[in-house]
Amino acid sequence: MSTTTAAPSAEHPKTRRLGLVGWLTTTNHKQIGWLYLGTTFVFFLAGGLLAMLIRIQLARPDMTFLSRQTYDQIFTIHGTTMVFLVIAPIGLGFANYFVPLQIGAPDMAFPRMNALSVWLFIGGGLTIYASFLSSHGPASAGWTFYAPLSDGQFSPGAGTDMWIMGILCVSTGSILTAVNLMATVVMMRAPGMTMWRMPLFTWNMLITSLLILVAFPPLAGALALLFIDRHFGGHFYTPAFGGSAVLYQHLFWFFGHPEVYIMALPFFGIVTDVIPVFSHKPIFGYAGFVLASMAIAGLSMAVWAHHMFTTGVVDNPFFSGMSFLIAVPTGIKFFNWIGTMWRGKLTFETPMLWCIGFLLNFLIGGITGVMLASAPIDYNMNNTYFVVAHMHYVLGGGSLFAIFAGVYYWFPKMTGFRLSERIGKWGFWFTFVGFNLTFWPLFVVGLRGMPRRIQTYSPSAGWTDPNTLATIGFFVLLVGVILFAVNLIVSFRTREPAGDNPWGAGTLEWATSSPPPEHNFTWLPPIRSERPVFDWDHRNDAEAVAGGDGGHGGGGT
Amino acid sequence: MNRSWKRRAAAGPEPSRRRAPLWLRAAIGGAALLALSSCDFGAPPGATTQGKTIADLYHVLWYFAIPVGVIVYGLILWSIVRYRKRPDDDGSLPKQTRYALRLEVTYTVIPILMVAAIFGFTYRAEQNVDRVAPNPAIVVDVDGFQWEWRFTYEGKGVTVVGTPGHVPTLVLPAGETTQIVLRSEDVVHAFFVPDFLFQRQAIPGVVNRFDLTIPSPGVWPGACSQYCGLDHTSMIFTVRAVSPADFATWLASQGSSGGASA
Repeated sequence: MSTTTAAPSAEHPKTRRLGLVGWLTTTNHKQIGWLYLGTTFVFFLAGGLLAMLIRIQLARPDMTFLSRQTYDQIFTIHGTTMVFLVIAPIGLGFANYFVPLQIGAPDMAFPRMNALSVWLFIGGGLTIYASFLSSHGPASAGWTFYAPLSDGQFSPGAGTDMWIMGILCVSTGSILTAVNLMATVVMMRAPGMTMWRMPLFTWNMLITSLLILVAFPPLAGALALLFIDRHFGGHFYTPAFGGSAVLYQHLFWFFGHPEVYIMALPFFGIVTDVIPVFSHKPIFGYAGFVLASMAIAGLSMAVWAHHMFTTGVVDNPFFSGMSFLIAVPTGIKFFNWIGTMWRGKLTFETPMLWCIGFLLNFLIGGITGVMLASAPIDYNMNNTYFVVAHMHYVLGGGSLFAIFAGVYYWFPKMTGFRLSERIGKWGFWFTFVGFNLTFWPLFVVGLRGMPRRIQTYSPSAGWTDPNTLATIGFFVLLVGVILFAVNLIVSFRTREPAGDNPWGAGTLEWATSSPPPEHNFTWLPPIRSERPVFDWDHRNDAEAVAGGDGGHGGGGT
Repeated sequence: MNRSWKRRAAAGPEPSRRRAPLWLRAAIGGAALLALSSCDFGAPPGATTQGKTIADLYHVLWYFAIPVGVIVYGLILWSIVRYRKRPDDDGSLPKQTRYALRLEVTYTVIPILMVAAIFGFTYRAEQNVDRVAPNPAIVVDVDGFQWEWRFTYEGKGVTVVGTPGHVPTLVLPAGETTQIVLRSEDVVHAFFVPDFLFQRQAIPGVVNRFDLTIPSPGVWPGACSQYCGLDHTSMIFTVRAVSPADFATWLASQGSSGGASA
């Protein structure tokens, strides 16, 4: 049985190379995916450059490499870049490209709105970076932008306003993309693609979209109020006039904690799509994984004040308890991943290597996260380098490693040719060793009481050696990233053909050509499980596809 | 050896083979726990009564974290080593297991129980740390402002203020309970003494109270831990605990001058 999707329509020519105007005006989800991924890569390099400046400044005590003002601006823009312009939008970029492909749809539900989203994102990011040219330079209030430090009295520069405007654009773009993805997933699945047969990346993007819808409007609201405070005499955050400085923290973290999962769930999804392929087994506990994602999303809306344990004005035990509970669904995911590898036949091509790096790093981020969910522990560790290390283990060692897994996994689909496995493996090892060398010492200085966001430290504080080690680690990590860039260049030159399904993967994006045609599919296999391509490839192997519909809720083995 | 293992793996689940790694994992976990039970895990021991409570809680969390970490790492590494595809693989598919409901329930319920236990420890520690004495020996108003600290001893007529060239010292009586009343005059700051394992935000419009009980004399560095603008890095102070007699002498010597020194 085969199903055909819509034939290429008249207004879309079949295949062509896009010129500049083509890229500026495209409404095709795959080209918009490319725009997201390309732009985030450039922002990633920029944010990495800023990180390098931070690490040089902190390499030794009493350094004067960066002035205090410059240092403040650099860590503000580094954090802003990595959170708002790299990790979160990469998820949207992958989703743009692969959610329609994974559910057998020809495009996103609202292609023109999709184009608006990506240009709001790019415009917002450029607005923030353009603030380097403004008279006082970019914003320097930290990426959390706490009021009243960020208000007109304490941060008068235009760079601060450009930051607010840039983030408002990025937020709006994210909200529109979330709506678009939800509509696409709910309305445009191919015949046979029931919700419970969707690939887990698609599932997690659906749940992420819900989180974006809940989280970003409060952020936009908080920043709008801040803008009114700055320019129109509002006093929402100034207590002397009846405002509340705590209000900003509440609004920001009501966005900020779901945002953590907006920066994690998509990449949990990627890992969950990749590990089964290289274990040569289906995902273990599909339904449990989806329910765990939903539980994480639900709980993530009730834990925001664990960022405010040291304010003395929130109900710490409640927020501690809810935060601890998130460990349960996150633990379930670990067992899904391990259970998938268990008794498989594991092969270690680059995507799998990055997934294993993800597992090893993210576990450290997760365990330290449970510690930080305990309010009295935060009395000690809040705003120290322990939190910095924890957060980088989650977003760098976790999400970023999963992103690299996704890039290596899907690159052949997006281009039609392979990335070099050899350079990729070298790149992985440099990145993995460099990452741990950079961030493990930061746990140590955090425990020794080093507050974050200080421009320098005294040699007598006992923070010198770990900081020097972290700086050395950064340069090892940098070699890993450079090797990735080299790999891109080499692969774009050699163009070793990949074929339609180089990894023997099972989800629907591998049923079409590499790269896919304008409207994605000319043929679809019958969809009877969460890996229709695998079922089709093994259609004569009754045992392999037995219980193909997943036997959801099925019993023990 | 590998070959025969592989054969048996292909033959399907065998409960007897499962047991060995579990047993091994438990042994490794137990050994690690013993080796580390005397370790301070990198954090200071806590120079205040409240800080000691936090240090104890921190150690308890490690007793949960280490076995979990060892088990999960063990399972991951075991999967990688044991279930890698061998060079002599016959090309057949491994068993396509999708669900094992009993196992899934187990790995959901056990973490819930662990989390409940951790919550109990956390709740008890926090009650102890946050408790404010009705009759503290001394009350000090601590005010943060860009980028200095001011310490005002209530009812004693003594005020200590930091200046850019001079780090202020918070002198406190050892063996007695001090109550800190924390305020901010401009942006959000935070009063942080790493050796006390304690910090609290100073927020404009909010008054925060907490107790410090320092059993024995000593000197410890403190800092603003909440980024507060250009000279955040320099917003440091010192805490010095002295015997009650020395404290009284110090208060008397300050009373007349009332200057920015200590």
